[in-house]
Amino acid sequence: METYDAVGENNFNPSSYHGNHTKQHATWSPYDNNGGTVMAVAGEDYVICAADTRMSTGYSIMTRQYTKVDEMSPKTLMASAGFMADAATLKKLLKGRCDQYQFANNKPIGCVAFAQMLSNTLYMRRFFPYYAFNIVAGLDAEGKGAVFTYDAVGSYERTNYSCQGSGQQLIMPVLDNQLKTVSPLVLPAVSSATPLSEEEAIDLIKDCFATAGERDIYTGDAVELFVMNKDGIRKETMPLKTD
Amino acid sequence: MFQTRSEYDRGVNTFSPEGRLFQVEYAIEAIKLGSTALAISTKHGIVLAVEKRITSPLMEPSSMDKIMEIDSHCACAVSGLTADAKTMVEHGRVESQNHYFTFNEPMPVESLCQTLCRLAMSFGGEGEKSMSRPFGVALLVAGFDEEDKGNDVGGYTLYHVDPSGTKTKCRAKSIGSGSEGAQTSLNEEYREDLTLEEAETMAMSTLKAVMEEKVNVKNVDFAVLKSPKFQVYDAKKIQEIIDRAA
Amino acid sequence: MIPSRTSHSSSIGPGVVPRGADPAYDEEVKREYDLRKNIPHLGKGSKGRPFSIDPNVGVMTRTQTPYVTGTSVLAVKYKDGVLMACDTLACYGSTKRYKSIQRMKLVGKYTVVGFTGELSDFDYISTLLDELEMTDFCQDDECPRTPKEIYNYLVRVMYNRRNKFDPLWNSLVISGWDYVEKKPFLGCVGMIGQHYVDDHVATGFGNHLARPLFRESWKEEMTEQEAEKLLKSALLSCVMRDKQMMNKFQLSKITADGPGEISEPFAIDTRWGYENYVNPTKYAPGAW
Repeated sequence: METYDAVGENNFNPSSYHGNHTKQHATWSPYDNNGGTVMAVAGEDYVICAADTRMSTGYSIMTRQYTKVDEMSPKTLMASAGFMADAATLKKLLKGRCDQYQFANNKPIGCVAFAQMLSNTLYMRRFFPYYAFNIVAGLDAEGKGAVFTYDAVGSYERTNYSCQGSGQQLIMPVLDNQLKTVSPLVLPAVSSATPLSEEEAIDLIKDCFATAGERDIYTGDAVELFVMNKDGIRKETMPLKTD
Repeated sequence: MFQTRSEYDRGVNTFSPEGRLFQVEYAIEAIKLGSTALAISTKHGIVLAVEKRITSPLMEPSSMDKIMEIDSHCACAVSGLTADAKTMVEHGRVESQNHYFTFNEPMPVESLCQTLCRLAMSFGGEGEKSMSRPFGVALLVAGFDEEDKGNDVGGYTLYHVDPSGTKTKCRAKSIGSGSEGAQTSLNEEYREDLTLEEAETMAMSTLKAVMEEKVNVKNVDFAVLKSPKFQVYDAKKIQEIIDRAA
Repeated sequence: MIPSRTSHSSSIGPGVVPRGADPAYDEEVKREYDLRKNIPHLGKGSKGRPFSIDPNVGVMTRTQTPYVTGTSVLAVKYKDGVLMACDTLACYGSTKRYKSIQRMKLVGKYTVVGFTGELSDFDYISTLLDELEMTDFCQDDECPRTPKEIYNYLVRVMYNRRNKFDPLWNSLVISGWDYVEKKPFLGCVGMIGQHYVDDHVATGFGNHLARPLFRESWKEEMTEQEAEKLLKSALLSCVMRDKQMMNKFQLSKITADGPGEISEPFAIDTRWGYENYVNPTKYAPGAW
C-alpha cells in the first residue's frame, strides 16, 4: 500500500513518488523513529553517558540541538533513542517518580533502584510499548560506575558499557574490542569496570561518535558527554559533522 | 490522668477543648497493659526480647508470636493488642515487598516505619477497610540499611512506632506493662559499644527484673536482627542467655 | 461508584466517565456541549466526544484520513521576537477549497500558534486554547501562560490523542515571547506528539523546502527586516514548488512589547518566466 502523509513528517515513503498508485491516502502510525545514538561507559570510579543531538524523521532533520541525556537524580543519568515523544513522556514520568522516592525515603534514588523502576515502567506497557531504547548510567552504592542497558519492553542487564540507537551496530563492536573485560564468572573475581582512565574513555567515546557520524545518517550535529564521578556531573560537547 | 474526661472521648476525630484526642491517648494506655517488649541496638545487630504471658499450662507458648519478621532486613517486637499488630505487620510486609519489586533494593527502615505510621493514623475514615479506632499496639521496629556511599545512611536502626503514628528513633527502648522499670534500667546500662552478647544478657536481665513470673524458655522470646539475616532464637539459645544473665 | 474523571479539565472533555453514571455530570456536560453545538464534532448528531470511551455512544469513529488541510507553516526567531508565516489556503484533497482561512491563532498576549494539517482538528485545538486563555484571563494574576507552557500543553494534548489511536491530524508551530526568560520562544509539535524547539522551524513541505534556506541564512541577532526577508524568500520557494500553497500569506510577529500581531493577507512577487516554465516540454520530447 502506498502511503502519503498530509502532515508530511511521518512515514516518508520515497516509493510513492513513482508510479503504481493503487491507493493514495494518508495513513499514520503511533510510532516514529527519530534516530540518534546513545552510549555509556562505566569505570572504577566514574561513568560517562553520551548521546548525539540530532533528531530526525525519515530523511529530514527536525533539530540539531536535541539533548537525549537527562539527569534523573544526582547519581543517575538516562539516555534514550527511538521515538522521542515516548522517550520524553517516559522521562517526565520517571522524574516525578524520582521526586516521590526522594520524599518517601529522604535520599535521592540510586541508579540501581532507578534501573529496576525503569524496567517495571517499560514492562507495564508491554502491549503498547514505549518505543524508546534506553541506557541508564550512574554510580552505585559503592561509588562504582554502572551501566544498565534496556530493550523497549523492559528487559535489562547491568554491564560496563553499552550503546543503543541508530549507531549501535557501528559502535558496539568497537566497544567490545576496546573494553571487553574478564567474565564475571571467572574466579578470583576481577573488576568488570573498564580499565580505561576517565580521559581515555572520553576520547574513545568521542571517536565512536565521530566514526558513527560518518556512516549513520541519523547520527551527527554534536555529541554531548555527561561525565559523573565523585565530584559530581560535568558536561562536555563536541561538534560532529552536520551532513 | 483523665480528670477532664468528658463527651470528647467518644469520637476518634474530635479534639477536646484542651486539644487532646482521647481515643489515641487511651490506645497508648492500652499498650501499658500489654506484655513487656524491649529492643537494644548495637553496632553489630539489634536484640529483640519479649515477655509471653502463659496464663494456663494448657496454652501452647509457640503459638504466641510477639516478634515478627517484616522482611529479611527488618523485624519487630510488639506489645498491646497483638491482633492489631498483625494488621500493621502485614501492611509493612506488603509495602516492603512492593519497594523491593519496584526498586530492587531492601526498603529503607525509616520509610518502612513511615508507612506503618501512616497506617496507624488512618483510623476514623469511611469504608469497610478503614479502622474505626486507633491501633492498640506499639511496635519496636528493628532494621538494617545497606551502606550507601555519598548518602549518609546504613547500619542498624531501631524505631518505636506508637498508636498516634509517631515514630521515634531509639538506641534501646521498652514498651508494655514493665516498660517504666525496664526503660530506667536500659537508660542506666546502655553503652554505645555493647557487643551483641552483652546486649542479649542486658535484655534478659532487664526482662527478668520486670516480669512477675520467673523467666524460662517458654515465657520469653528472643530474636536478633543481624545482617544478612533475621533470626529467632530457639529454646537452647534462650536457656544459654538465661544462664548468662543469672 | 462513579468512575473517576481522568480528564484534568472540562475543556478536554469528560474523561472516561460513561454517560448515565453521574446524571449531574451529564447535565454539566450537556450544558457545555449546548454552548458549543456549532462546533461540528461536538454538536447535535455527532457520534462521539473526543477523549471519551463511552459504551453508550456506540461505535465512535476516528479521523482515519485528513480531509481539509493546510500546508506549511514557517517561523524564525530574530533579535526581538519571532516571525511566523503561512498561506491562507485550506485544501480539500487537491482542490483549493477555502482560500481565506487564517491559519494562525493568537493565544493570550504573547503566543501565536500556527497549524499544518486538518482544519477541523485545529478548530478543536482552538477551543482548547480559548478555554485555556479564558481561565488564564479570569485568574487576572498578571502572569499569563508563557509560550513554553502552551507548547508543553499542546505536546500533551497531541500525545494523549495518539495514545487513544485518535490523533489530531496537525503539526503545530508555537511562537511567542517568553516574558519570564526575556527571550523569544519557538517550538513545533507533530501529530503523534514529537516536539522540538529550535531557532527556526517549518512544518510539512516547508521542512524540505524552507529549512535548508533557514539553515543557510539564519543568524543569531537578526533584525526584524532581515528575518522578514528570509521568511519571504522561503515563502517564495514554497509557493513555487508546493502545489497546495497559494500566493496569499499572513505574517505574525510577536515581541516583548505586548500583543502579537497577525498581518493582513499579502502576496509576494513571484517570477514564472523561467525558461523551463515558458516551454516545459522543450527538453522532454514526446511530452504534452
